[in-house]
Amino acid sequence: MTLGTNETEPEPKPESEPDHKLEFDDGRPNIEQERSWYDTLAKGVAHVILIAASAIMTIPFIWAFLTSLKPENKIFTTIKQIIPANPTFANYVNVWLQNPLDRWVLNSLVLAVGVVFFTLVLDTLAGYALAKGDFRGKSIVYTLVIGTLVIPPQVVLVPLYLEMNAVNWSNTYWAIMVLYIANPFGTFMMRQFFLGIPDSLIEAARMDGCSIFQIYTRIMLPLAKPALASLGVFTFIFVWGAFLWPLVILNDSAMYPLQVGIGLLTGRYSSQWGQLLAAVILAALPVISAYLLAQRTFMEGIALTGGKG
Amino acid sequence: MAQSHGLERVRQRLGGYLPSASVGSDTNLSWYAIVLPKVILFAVILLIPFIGAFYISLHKWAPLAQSHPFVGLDNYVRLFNDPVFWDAIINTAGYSMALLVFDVPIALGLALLLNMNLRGTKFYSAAIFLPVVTSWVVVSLIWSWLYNPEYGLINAALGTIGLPQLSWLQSSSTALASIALMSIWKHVGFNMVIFLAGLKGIPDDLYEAAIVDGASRWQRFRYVTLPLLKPTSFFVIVVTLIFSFRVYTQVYVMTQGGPVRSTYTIVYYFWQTGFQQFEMGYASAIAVVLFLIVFGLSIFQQRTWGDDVGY
Repeated sequence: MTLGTNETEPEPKPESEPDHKLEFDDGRPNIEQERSWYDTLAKGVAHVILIAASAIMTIPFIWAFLTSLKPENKIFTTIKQIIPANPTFANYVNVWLQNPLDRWVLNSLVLAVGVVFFTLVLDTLAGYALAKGDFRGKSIVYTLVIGTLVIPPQVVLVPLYLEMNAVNWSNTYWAIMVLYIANPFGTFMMRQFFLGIPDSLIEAARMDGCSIFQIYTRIMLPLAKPALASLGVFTFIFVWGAFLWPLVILNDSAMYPLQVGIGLLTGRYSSQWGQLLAAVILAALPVISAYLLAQRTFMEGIALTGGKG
Repeated sequence: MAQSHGLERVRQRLGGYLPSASVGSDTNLSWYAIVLPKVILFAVILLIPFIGAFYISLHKWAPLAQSHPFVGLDNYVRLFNDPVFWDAIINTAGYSMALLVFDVPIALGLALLLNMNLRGTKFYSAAIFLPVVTSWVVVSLIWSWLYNPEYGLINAALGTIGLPQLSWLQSSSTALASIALMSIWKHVGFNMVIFLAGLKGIPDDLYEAAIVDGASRWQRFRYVTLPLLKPTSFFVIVVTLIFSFRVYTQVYVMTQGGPVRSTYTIVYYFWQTGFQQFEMGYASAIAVVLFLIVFGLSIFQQRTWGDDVGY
């Protein structure tokens, strides 16, 4: 993961350890040379605090998972007994059978994959033009990007809702996707990334007769792989968690993304917590597993976007 | 790099004839083809609706009505005399302040601990970041269960160690604070990682020089870490503020604005007037005020940060 391996160094050092190992070696000179009882004490205290913080962050998930394994009629009577006596997946089966969960998951997947695809294509193109292009109106376009970054998305929801109704797009995947594809964040991020690619590389390619588009496919895109991965993962999580806009634009529950579906279950399931928690765990699983698999990319992505400051 | 070396020789032979800032000044049209799809999207999906929001806010606008009469600033006047809207503003500001006062310092503290490069740092940061990747709906549902006064884990834990139990989301005096507490839990990992990136960006030799000069641990923190972390801190503070002003999903899932309006926020009220009561002119006025607040915060960000503002 990034945090440990000091990714801010310009030259990447050869990767010897696989990601998921817990060993930690920063590779930078150890400046804390004082080895004293004070040092040991400080480290001990730090470990205690970090273990407590980790527990606070993970216990709600673990507890929700364990509770979802209890039979519905036992949840309230066994509330003090954290670990279920006879774990069962009945809640998962029931909530899946009683709701179009498979359809909701599919909706979420279509939306997330679609938005990620269009975001990556359009934002790398626009970011490339803004970083390396030479055309009239470039500064206007850049102002547009920065300007729309500041607009809270809620501000445009009413007119966009009317607009989507006017073109008969309400209740379509497209209507949901366009708002997220239009998000200027990726354009800004890709521009910042491409600015860092030396002009000399591009000029060399031009000497070899590459067109603007060939430079994009042969130089810019291959170099941008880490940035693309971060932007893709971020966008996926962002769309997977989308709630307000789909809630506003959809009126057919078969079209709901998973988050809206389970968000609206609360009223109906006020007494069936086992099934509700099962649905919640199902909704969280894809991103949590994606996160655990791609931890490194995640942290890099945040460092890339936040660290730029 | 070998490639740039070769290019240097070419450049010398051409006598600095090559343009350096950009490529392809002769093929302007290609650049337009590349940038236009995104620009059209900006215009159609963000810019025109953005202007539309101002326009609609000056009208009495029901979606199915035959006509939308122009009412001038009536919606804004009504807004300023609307106690619910003021409740929403105060609640949103209170929520944002809670995040600023608790989320940011806790995130900095955790980042400093992780920056000590202890064993297990990867595990710790993964655990603390876990709520960040989970959606607001998911954590809101889990926490409304944790907060349950009779069956929730939090009251059970408080009872075990002999502390008074609270009614959390059910009482108008604690509901907003409960939502803020959960939001801090959900969001603190994000700020922590940004702080950590900032800490990693401070060059080691500054600390080495400080050690050579005999600076104590505290002095190194006070005179090296804190000043160099200033840009990161501004970023964290402003982004936390801007995003906390958009609080909505937690409220929708956990309290629906209640009890007795104690958790109405700006965006929740916007959603209710616009898409429950279909008073879209009034809702747009709320949205415009939200924009002005967020825009003001961004101006503040630019002022404190200078020209090359990240986001």
